[in-house]
Amino acid sequence: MTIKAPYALQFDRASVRFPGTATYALENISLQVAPGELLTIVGASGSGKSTLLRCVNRLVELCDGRIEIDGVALESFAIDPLRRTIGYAIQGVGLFAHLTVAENLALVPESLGWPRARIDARIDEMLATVRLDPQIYRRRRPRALSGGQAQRVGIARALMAYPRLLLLDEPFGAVDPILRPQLQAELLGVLRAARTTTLFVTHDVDEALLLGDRIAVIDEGHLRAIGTPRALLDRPPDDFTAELLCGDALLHEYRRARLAVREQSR
Amino acid sequence: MIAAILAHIALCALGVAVAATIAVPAALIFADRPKAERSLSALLGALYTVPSLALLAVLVQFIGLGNTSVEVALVIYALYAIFRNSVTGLRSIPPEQREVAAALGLPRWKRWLQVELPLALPAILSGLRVATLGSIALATLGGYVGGSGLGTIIFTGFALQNQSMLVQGAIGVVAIALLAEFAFRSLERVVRLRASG
Repeated sequence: MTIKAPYALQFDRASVRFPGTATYALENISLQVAPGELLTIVGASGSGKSTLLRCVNRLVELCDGRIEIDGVALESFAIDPLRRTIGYAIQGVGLFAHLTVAENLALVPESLGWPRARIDARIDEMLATVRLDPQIYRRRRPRALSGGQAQRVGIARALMAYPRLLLLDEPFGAVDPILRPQLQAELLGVLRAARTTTLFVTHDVDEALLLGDRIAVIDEGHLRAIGTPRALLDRPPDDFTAELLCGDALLHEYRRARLAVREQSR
Repeated sequence: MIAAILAHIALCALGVAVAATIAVPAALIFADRPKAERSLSALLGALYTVPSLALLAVLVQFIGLGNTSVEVALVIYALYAIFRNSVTGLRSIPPEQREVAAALGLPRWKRWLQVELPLALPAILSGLRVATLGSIALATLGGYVGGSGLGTIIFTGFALQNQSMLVQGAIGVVAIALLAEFAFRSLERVVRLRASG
């Protein structure tokens, strides 16, 4: 896909080094994300992909470089108001067990001062969007939800207040593999409808290929490659990317064939 | 007797309530500041170990005879248990839950009220229970320095060598303690269930 400026999100030589460590968790990351784009970030455990995500909502601070949202430097925003404009969902969802589904969904809109009627209407809308009947699920507590339902609620909470950016950190990591494709397809539908710029972290290469408009490959804190799934599968820029995305010849062909099916279905 | 029981309950309830009003917010502030928390815990722990009669004697010197001295002593003794349990409860909140609360951009007060306090509530209640039981026992000494409550019956019985008054006072104290224990245990059970969803 063609990226048009202004970017929704831009990393400019962004680096992170955690206190007391000699090596960079992220080093000189530069990339841009277009408005409405879904960028999947793929890499091994400990590669720095979650750190990259957490820089955007300032759960992690840069030691060097800068990040811009809609052309404005991240540090220009006050932290809490910035975070209220960025949806965030993690593996295991992070729903608060003592709150009902509706109370979990209402947290950000309440902080934004929305009137009660608007919050209630939006809760119903978002639950319907993630295919959960509001009449049934509004009052449920997280413990009474299945893994897939909890994941849907997590996505709904992240999208409640019309975020300018959505950060998803392995949201389907703990979901039953049988249910995963369905949730992935649903998520794509929801994101296409909302046109929300999204960063999606995963260590599942097939998930990254299936969901991403583009893929960023992270290894040991460095950005190895970034491009469309087709470009990276057809012409991986280095051995690491080739090994990670393409695998052996059989797997490479399988992934290309799956990608072709996905491209046709879009 | 009933009046003395009610006075005893009121004395303890006020002392624990005032201590909780100080200790719980202090725990919220200091749970994330280990150095300061250790210093405060050490101070409250030291106060907790001062013999109660000695503390009452000192307080009477400054405040005079009566319920005020007793209340101040009750507050001082209750602070430690409530503070320590609250800190433990707050620190036992799973880090990812704290992180999500921060990532949602909830204001600090909202994180405290809607996320951290409810999740730490079972431990806070546990601290309140320990503090309340300690206060019920300690408040009897108030009778020695002009305070109200069952202590007046016990000390009067002691002075008059009246076994019946002594036993009545003691039974009253034990009954209040058992009632408080049962009430707090029940509440803790409900809150624990709620906190775990």
